[in-house]
Amino acid sequence: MRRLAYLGALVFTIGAGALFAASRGAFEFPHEKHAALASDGCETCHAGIYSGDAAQNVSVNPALCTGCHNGQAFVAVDWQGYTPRESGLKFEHATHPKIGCKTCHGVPDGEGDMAVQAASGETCLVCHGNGATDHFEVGVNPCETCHYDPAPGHTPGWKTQHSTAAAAQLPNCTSCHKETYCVDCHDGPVNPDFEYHPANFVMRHGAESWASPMECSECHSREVFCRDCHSNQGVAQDGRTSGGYHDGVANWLQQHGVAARQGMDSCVGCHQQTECMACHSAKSGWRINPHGPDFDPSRAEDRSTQACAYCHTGF
Amino acid sequence: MNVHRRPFLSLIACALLLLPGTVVGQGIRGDVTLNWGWLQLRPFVRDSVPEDGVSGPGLQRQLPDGTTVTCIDGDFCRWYEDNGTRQDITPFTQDLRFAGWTGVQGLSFHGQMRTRLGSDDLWPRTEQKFDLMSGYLSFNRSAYQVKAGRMYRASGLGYYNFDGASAVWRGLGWLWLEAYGGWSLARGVNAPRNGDLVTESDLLATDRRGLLFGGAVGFRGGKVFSGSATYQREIRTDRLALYTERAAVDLRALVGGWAFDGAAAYDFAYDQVNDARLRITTPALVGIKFAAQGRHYTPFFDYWTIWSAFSPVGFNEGRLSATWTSRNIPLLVEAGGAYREYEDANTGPTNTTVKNDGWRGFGRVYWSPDRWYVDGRYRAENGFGGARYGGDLILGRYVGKGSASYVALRGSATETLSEFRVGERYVTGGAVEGAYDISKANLTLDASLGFYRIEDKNRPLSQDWTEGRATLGLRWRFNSGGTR
Repeated sequence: MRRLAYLGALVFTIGAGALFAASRGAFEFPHEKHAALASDGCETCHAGIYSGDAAQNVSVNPALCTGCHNGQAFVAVDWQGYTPRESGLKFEHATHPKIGCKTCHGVPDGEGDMAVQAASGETCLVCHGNGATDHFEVGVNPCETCHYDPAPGHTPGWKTQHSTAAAAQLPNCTSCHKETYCVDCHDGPVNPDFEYHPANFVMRHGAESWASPMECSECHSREVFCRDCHSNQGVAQDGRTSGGYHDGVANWLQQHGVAARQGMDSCVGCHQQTECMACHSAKSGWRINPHGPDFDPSRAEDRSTQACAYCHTGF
Repeated sequence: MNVHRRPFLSLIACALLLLPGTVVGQGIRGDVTLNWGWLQLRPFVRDSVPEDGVSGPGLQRQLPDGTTVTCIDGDFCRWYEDNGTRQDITPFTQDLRFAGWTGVQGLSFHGQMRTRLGSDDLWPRTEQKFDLMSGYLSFNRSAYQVKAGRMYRASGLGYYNFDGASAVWRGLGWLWLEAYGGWSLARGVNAPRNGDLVTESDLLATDRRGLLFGGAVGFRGGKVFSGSATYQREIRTDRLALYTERAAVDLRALVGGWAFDGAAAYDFAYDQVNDARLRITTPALVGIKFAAQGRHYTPFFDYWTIWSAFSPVGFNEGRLSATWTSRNIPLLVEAGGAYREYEDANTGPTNTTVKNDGWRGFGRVYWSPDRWYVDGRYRAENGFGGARYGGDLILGRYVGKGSASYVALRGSATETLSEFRVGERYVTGGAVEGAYDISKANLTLDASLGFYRIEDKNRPLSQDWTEGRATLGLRWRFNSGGTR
């Protein structure tokens, strides 16, 4: 029940936040109501489209509006001009081929030349999507060619904070990024840049591994990667539990339970299961119960008795 | 791989039978990457003296040079020091990755493989000489995609790869459905769960491969909402037990520069939420983008291990950060911090000295006047098991067009306290780094060479503690054209 409450709170917060943000949405100009004014096409108002005149490129001069909407002929408006959205997208009409305004701006199934809307990023991907042409391959052509940095939706700290967006919007990611792009970081041959793991991370990673700012095991096998290296470097000493290493805490043996429950991720990076079982198995040794008060053996047993059988008979 | 060849061939044969006759551009493109590294490390060695040779009473005592030792009456006093013989480790990897278009619209093949040489037994996974990271056929049309082979899958459950097949249907545009299944691989290894790599590293490693099955549903509500839910389970091939059973929900709303991200991953066997996050990122307010995040984290462990039965506890963390990017000058300033508190461990003495909280702070200033750049980064990480404070200062210059070619000097300083061990350590050093992109030849070269000095506070240096680091990389891209 508590889990469902968490999920409900999550959905509610995301929804409320989105509605709040949506309520601050931009004004949409009713093009179809003004069709009679565009006898010479879109350039009647959007004069700078093809000339590349930055001042008039996308926007419309507000004076064009107030010429009619002056409070006498039509209701007065106080539009101050177009404020570019923070789409993060670089686009210049002048550098693109003239393929007809409605190709990108047309409303699907809309009738008439004025059934238009703002172009979406998906429109770009018709020509520029991943795999469409080789020169848009990530790594060959930098993101900055099309996007301001950071790219749209790539919020600050993206390299370490993108997992939710990637899971929720996976089809979007693959528009620009190939699968191999993900592998560069998640299973790359080397530290791909010094933003994810800083330089000389081998000497710095200890604190991070205890703090779990990210889940290390998502890319690094605790057994094969962490323990393997720690064994080679003498940090993990299989079978020796007579003290000497964690000597920064007095009476470590009595206090290690707290550290283990708080930092099990790190413990596994050095210790074998058999080391803990030397004292915590119900079959032999000190038979100290390692289960916490919330441990539900029936749930675990329903799914696997493999681990139970290490310490308990009857499986 | 021989064991599972027949199912793969069947899948490929089925895919070929279903192909349309349209033929468009053929081609292949990819890259070859060579990376050589050199690093020096000093292994820890265990030392001891007879207990009666160390003055003072109690379990913990000190040697004359300040080293803390753990003593057992009538036995020995023991301690660890990383003063072993300096090792030279030289891992070398070669990667080949490619994507090929067959000439049949939508049908492509993809692969990535790696060979490792050098430093056997000293650097993790160097004994894995050949590593097939991915290799699959893809048939991709606007409404659906079918893949078969070895592939990765990213979801709210993390990053998994497996040998099998997946099918995605996205015919409605706003909704997508996915089903996938096959033989699972140990995470981060690209090898079976019962393969040599795992069995040599864990004395209780499982003796059976796993079968992985999963499904996902995703939606998109206009330009605002998107989300996905994933369910996945892994079962032993003899079907006697599960290895994992998990589900994840990920939601995102992106409106007017505001981003709202929420995620949760759930473990069915231990009734735990492993990683839950809620993050809000603002558009530029007074020129600064802010991000706030609440997170709960409890580690997840496979069911063949005992670790979850030891009732690991999670932490709850709050994180704030701010990023300012100047519109007038090439300057970026970033700062942030986080504080976390652990749940009650329900064990140990009431007067435990192990902390139950932790914090971090970080900052960065990046300034790039003309073609020069200065990049300063600082991070403080303070936790119950380890801490570090320090950062890097980089002075560099971009060469040629863009930022792919550069040469830089790096200075670095870090103070560490780790693994509940007594003593502070300082690591200071520097490096020269560079990369050069030869676009006409489709080549990128990179190299670095650095040296770091390691000092233990309040303990004498008995020998040269400098350690070297170097890298040399080459990437060559090839392309014979081809389209989707």
